[in-house]
Amino acid sequence: MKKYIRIASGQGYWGDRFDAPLDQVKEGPIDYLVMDYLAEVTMSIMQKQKSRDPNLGYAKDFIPLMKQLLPLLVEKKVKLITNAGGVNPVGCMIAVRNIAEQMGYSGLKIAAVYGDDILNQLDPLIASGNEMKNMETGEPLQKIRRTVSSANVYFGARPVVKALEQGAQIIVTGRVTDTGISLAPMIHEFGWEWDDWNKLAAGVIGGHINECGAQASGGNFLAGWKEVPRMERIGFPIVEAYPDGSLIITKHESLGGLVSERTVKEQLVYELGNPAEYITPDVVADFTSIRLEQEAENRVRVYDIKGYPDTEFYKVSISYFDGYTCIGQLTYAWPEALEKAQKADDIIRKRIEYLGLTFDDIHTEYLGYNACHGSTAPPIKDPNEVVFLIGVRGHDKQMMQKFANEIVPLVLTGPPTVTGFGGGRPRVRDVIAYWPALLKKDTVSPKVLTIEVV
Amino acid sequence: MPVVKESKQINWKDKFVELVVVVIGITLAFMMNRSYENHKNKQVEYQYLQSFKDDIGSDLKQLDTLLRHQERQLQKIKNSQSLFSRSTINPDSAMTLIGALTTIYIYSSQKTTYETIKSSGNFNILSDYRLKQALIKYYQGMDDLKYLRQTTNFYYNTFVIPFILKNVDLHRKKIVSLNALRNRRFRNMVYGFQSLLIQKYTMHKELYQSARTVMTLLKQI
Amino acid sequence: MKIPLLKLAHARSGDKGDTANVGIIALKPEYYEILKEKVTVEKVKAHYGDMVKGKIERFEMPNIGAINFLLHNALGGGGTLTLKHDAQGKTYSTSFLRMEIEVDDNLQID
Repeated sequence: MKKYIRIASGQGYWGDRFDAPLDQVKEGPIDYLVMDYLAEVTMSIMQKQKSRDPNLGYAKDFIPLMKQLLPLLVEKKVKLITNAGGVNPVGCMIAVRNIAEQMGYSGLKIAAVYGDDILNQLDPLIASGNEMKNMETGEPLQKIRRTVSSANVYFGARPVVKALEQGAQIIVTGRVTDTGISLAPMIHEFGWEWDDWNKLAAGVIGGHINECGAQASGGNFLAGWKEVPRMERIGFPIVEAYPDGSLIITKHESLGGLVSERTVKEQLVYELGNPAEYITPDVVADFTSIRLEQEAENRVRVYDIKGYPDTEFYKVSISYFDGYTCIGQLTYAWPEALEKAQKADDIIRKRIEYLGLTFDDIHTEYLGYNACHGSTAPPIKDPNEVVFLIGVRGHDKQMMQKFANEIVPLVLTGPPTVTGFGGGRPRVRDVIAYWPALLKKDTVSPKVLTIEVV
Repeated sequence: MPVVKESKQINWKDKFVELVVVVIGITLAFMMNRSYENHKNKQVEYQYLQSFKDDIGSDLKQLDTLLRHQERQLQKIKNSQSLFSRSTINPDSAMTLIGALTTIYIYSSQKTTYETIKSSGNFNILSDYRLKQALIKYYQGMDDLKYLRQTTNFYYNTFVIPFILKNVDLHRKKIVSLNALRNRRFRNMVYGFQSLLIQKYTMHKELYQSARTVMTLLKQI
Repeated sequence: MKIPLLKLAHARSGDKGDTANVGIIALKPEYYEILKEKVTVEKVKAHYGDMVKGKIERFEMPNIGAINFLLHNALGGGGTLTLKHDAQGKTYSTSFLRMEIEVDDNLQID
């Protein structure tokens, strides 16, 4: 058994810095590279792409990246685990295989983890008593069933471990949790048991630290962002995992960024619910047990982690169409910039009334004045400029379009010294909303498919 | 006018009895209707159950044959792999290997009942919760099998077939150049295809198990 | 004396649907006790007023000197539904730290 393994984060979300994964493999020793691509909305976009072309439905720019990454992975014997497979992990695997063949990496094993897509079984599932109630509102899924565009179960580390056991070097998955892709290598390398809750929890916490890329290594760091070196080549985090379930969070020395107790703490609380019950498909991790210690420069030890048995449910991510939004904006300059923007707001709201438009929500913000902090921000006396933002949400597309047409006319008909209308009419956008729900674990089972490059 | 007043006297006791009779009447009608509905539903459910029994029964038969064929195919591929370690290649065992590689077994399941009950929105007519879960699991497995089939076909069309067409004389059932079999690409192709076939076999086996579970439940009802 | 929380803590915020989470973290171990005592649910409610429409939950994490707050119905519908410029509640971290609290006049602050 290895003394430790190094699991490097290469991507915090779809669209993160493209050369980060390359740097992670090039700039120092690592054993695994993990890349998170999926957010709630992403699945629905991919489902749409797949319905147009059955070969698509995965993170498209993962393929050009693989052209650069694959030679490095092969040379350094680094394994890659990513959920870039989206709603078509097998298609993604074939695409990667094709590249690998062109490059002559015969014998390379690539795996796809799938079986998370339950869109086809939604009706029978509902009819057999799986209500899949919205975890936030408690409403049953039946209410929005007609508008559902994707439905995927969140799998944990299990199928990924299976793929590793089958000898795969590249693993592309569908909806596997962001933490699961970091946890799986630890289980595989150290032979942790599936009921060794404390260790599984440690792996999950390592995954939580990795899952947002540089957010753990100096990016978006409030307590000292000015002191973070070389953000233009920020080093993404690396989790050095030990068989006893302790971790060291670090980064490559040659890259920028910063790993300190404070950077790690900020990431630990990110998107956290009840810290004592961080629920994943494999284990419930207790964030109130974690201990931190700065061991050396850019090395933070994370240890004493506790975990509890997993629940009997998978989380399901369901996306559905829920109307439209449209947000218009105009910039007003000094003097009395705020007053002008407020007048513009008054005019638009009166126009909405006059035209008989109705919306589910109308929302105004004054960017540069208090859009971010709202009523907690103190007033500014006569700001140099204010961006007026007004948005509406509704289900009637014609009304949405009529609203969109109302913004630019304000330039000639409303308050003076206004600019920032270069974009023309604001766009009416579809709202793809998210429906979080639970499903009994025994209703679905993950599948693994491995393929060898000829 | 006291006369009028008298005639307006209502016998509450009778009215109450009347009311009770009416209520009981409505309830009875309602219950009869319900029992009729129930009866109708029961009939529909019975038909579905029969139809599922037919589908799953034929699936099981097919899977059973398929699994035995696949076992033989895998055994053949496994046996002929010693081919690669020998210095001279035996043309017969090479041909056996080629034969095993070119056979593809396709499983086509009877999905009609499931698709019908699904699209008609009648799934909740089935009253047994365990049966419903088992059915969903089985047919979801079928959905998942599609990917494996797709990949195997891709492999078959992209590597296996072109290789055979190039190196095997199909008329005389002879290998044109035995040296082609010494190629590393051929070896990788065999291993790769074999691994896919094993995975397909495993998945068929899992499907067989889920189908068995469904059947057991169907027979209990 | 009255000081903004910014002097005692750092923070990060994020979203889960229409709920914003703000984790505030003591800059020094000794500040944690102050946070624990002063930053109550009532105080946070008063600080945000109408901005947070739902309930507020508070979880202590003494192990890392932090308190995690869940601000429900604080993102105008959240996710893709919201019309807010800060759709994911990324700036709740510092609006939180604007909160003023009363501390001992002798408290050492860097």
